[in-house]
Amino acid sequence: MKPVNYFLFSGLKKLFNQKRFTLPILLSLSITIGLLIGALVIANNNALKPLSGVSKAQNISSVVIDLNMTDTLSFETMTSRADFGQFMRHFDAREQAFVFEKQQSLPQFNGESLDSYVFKAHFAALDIMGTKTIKGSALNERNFESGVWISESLYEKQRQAGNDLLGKTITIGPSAQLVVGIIEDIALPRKLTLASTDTSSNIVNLAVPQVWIFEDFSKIPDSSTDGQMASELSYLYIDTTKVTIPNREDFFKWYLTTVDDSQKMMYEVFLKKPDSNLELSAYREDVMPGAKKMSLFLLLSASLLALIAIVNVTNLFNAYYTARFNEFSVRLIHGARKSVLRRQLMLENTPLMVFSILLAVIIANLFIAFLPLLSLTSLSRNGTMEIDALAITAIIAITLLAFYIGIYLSLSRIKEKALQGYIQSSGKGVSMDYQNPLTKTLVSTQLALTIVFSFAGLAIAYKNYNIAFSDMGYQVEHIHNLELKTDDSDWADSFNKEEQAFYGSDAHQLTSSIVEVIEQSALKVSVISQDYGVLANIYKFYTQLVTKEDGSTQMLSYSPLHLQPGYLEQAGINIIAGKSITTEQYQQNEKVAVVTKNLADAVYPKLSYADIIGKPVNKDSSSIIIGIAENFRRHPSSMSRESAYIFRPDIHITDTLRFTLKTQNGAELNDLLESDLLLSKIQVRHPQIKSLSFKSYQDHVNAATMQQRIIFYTSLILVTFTLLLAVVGISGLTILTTKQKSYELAIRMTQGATRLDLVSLMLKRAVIMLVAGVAVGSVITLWVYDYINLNFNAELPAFNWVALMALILMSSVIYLLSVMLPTWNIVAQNPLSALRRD
Amino acid sequence: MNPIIKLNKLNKSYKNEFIKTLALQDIDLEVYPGEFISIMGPSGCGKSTLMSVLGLLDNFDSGKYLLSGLEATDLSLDQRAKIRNKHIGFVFQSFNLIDSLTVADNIAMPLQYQGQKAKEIAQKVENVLAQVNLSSRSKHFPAQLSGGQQQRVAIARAIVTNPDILLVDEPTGNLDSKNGDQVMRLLVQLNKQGSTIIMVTHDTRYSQCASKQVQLIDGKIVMENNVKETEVMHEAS
Ligand SMILES: Nc1ncnc2c1ncn2[C@@H]1O[C@H](COP(=O)(O)OP(=O)(O)O)[C@@H](O)[C@H]1O
Ligand SMILES: [Mg+2]
Repeated sequence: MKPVNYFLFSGLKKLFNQKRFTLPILLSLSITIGLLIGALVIANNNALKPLSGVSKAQNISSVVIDLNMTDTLSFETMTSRADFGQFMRHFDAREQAFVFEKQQSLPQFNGESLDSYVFKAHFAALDIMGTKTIKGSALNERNFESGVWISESLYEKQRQAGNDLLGKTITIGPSAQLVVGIIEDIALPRKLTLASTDTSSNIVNLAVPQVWIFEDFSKIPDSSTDGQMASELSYLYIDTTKVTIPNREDFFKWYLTTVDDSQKMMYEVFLKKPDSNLELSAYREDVMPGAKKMSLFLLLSASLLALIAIVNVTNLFNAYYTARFNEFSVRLIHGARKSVLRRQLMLENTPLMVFSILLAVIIANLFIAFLPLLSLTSLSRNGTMEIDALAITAIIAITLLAFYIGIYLSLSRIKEKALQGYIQSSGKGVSMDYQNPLTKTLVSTQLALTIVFSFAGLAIAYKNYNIAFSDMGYQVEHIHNLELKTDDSDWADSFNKEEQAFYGSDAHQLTSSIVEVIEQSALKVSVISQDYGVLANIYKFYTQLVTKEDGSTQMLSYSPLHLQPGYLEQAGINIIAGKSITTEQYQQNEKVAVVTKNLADAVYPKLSYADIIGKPVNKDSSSIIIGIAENFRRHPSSMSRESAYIFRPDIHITDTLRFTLKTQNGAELNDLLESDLLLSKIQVRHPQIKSLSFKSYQDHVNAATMQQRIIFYTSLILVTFTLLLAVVGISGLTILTTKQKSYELAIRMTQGATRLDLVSLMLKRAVIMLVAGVAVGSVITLWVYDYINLNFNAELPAFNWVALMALILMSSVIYLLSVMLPTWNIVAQNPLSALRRD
Repeated sequence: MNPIIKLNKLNKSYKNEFIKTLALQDIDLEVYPGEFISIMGPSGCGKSTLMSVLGLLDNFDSGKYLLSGLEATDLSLDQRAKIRNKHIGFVFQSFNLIDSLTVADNIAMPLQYQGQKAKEIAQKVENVLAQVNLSSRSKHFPAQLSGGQQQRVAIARAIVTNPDILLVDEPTGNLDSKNGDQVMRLLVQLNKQGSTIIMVTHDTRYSQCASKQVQLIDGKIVMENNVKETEVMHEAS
């Protein structure tokens, strides 16, 4: 047999005969490489792969103004996008900026509605985004008014149904539009595409079927500035390679000129603060918020695991090959060089490598398949996620590297000059043991890494668990949002009359007539708020200067939420002092309000809660505080309950009407309400309403905390696998070395050592490494924890010594068991045969 | 006087998936305190098997083994370990020293398992090293010694606990005649001081040193005879 075949063949035999050696290596490597590749594929999909229809995404950013609204109550950071036309004119960015808006109307063809979204954009948009035209005319400066462009998926779907839309006329609202071109599906900012009804799938496809209308936004005259602070304003994007971003001072000076006079004072205060910033937000980040950070986290976790796996493999190789020192010595004496030996060992391990690679590919696929399940909902997916040639190449490269490092290090102890010693000794005594310096170092390293990673992993898991799963301060189960939209904003606005009390007003009549229809349509559904309750869109801010105890003043901001009798109780919001509004007060239009604890604390820092009841909300206000409610988290993805709110009966009508529904006895809303039927019933009374959708609070919270949940589960996986690898590595090593040491153990048994003596002998040797590993691990943990907290703004929970001690205890027990059980197992067999070997 | 070892119709076989080897068949043997017994026989006849049964290293299929009146089959693994530690010393053909331990540490091992104090152990090791003439080598490792020296270390380890019985399996098999003679002289001396010795050997010269010779063939005892005079021994010394 040729040497190559010989070594391959003997490697194949070893794969099955030497399971003590091959199994731990196979497990350590394939699991971690599988996870690493899974993470790579996900990261590639989320952070690297080109976005559909936006080939120039890396050039595009939106302009964001971050305003930090208060001194002590860090009000949710407001994000606002500058008014497009004014921005372009002022900073002369006509050809390098675009904007789009989502339209409410549903497009129709031949009386059938087309399942798609309509967007309006500046005509430069496609050019700046790098969107390709697939069929028909390409968009340009001259033809943008000639009709609409539709996206590929909409076109293909209709074509399969027998409608070639190119050149046909579709209707959008009142107007008829000619389809002049087909373009790629464009991956759009998350907020524009999140379908409120689609909760069936866990994965949100970034590109939805689209119809595009183009205009010259730069010619639009100065519009009214109403809604400047709303977060759902039109999306202004600029090509950062061509537009120089104005400096902060210039920009804010200009920005103030665009703000409504009544709000100017407030903005001036905000803009002057050093932490108010003009920022750019990358297009990709808007499309897949947090995806980059998450990908990085996944990759980092998987790489750390792979690091432990390499430590494991090296350790096992070292143990295994030390036992073969005699064989190697003989080979070296007969003229082999170390490099030849290494090649021989790589060859011998090829079958093991092939198996590791196959298993790694399977595990990577499983990981990719299961990750969306962990996040429960709304994982962005940029096209397909799969293991491609690049990933396979990566798997092979990492496997080869891991084996090579293992073999290189374990042969490094053979000194060619000292060959004679190996040959002369009986050969049995050299067999690997825990006194081997490389083993000592590696085992201690592994223990240290185990402690560091598990602790960091647990801290991160704990933090994210708190955000994703802890109490929001309001009930999440059985509560749903119902959203109605109209395309007639004049009609909607006609209900807002400043000085009118809410109860009995036109606005109240509108909302209560809709409530009536809803409650008649389903008996087990009650409407608990004629708005979104705590999740309402904030349309207005109140700001006031309050004097603190030390005499200094601070700017306090808060926003109003709709209050109706029974809402706070139904929504599970605790009232800590006073009472909520009574039906009588509501119907009498009494000027009363319930404020959250934060607001009460800021306005009346010196008064007890009981004393605050009956006081006005502020000096100028005629509203009287009748109750104080517990703080809550409006943003599920932040842990803090720091914002301040005031609950009052008023409602501001916009083109989106929102209601909060509660189902009784845990019934499913879908079983109780038929949305098409309900819409048509509402349209009988209010034909201006065009669409209706539901979303449960649970879905809302799930979507908002997706990132936290993924990080929570990933951290747990990291910790589990870290511990698992420690068990596989240490027990694998112990089994291997104890077996190799059976000669020494047998001699000791002839001299009267009991099994307990032998186990404690192995333990004693192991404890030294345990102590070293724990000491190094604890120091690194302390340092890493501080470092992460300081440099990554990770907001980890305060360092917990008890948790660290518990973790050390746990890993020590795992470690000692991993040493003790296999040793016991081997010494319980009769080791006599070891003495008979020759 | 009661025999220290009494075997009655003892059988032992080895089984693997293909074949069953009858290693010992109907062995009857009595050994009295102070005796020096040599066991002879061709390779593979069961000599080492008999030694490991006697040394409580291995079990047997049937028959009886009384050691100082104790039924061997009644003993637990740990009880066997204790008995080996206190009452039995082993010397093997291939020395079986632990390469990573010094000469002194190898010898100290059985004492450590008895839980003796470090000082006492050091003293006893020193004494026994002097007895085997290796005082200057206590800090050496086995690989740094010659074969004869290694075997003397093994003997030192076997006798350091002052065992009632010494089980010696071809102690000279790996040694040249000069070193072999030296080892044999040591054993005879120990026997004279009262040790009971059971020794396996190929060498008829050395078997003459024994007070009783046992001949094994194919697992059976074919001949037992007592030797009155230890003439060869006198020659050798
Ligand atoms: N562990 C074992 N498994 C199977 N057969 C064995 C084993 N040990 C010894 N034997 C067999 O038992 C017989 C006696 O062996 P042994 O006692 O070593 O002989 P001796 O020491 O006289 O040369 C031999 O045939 C040998 O092959
Ligand atoms: Mg033998």
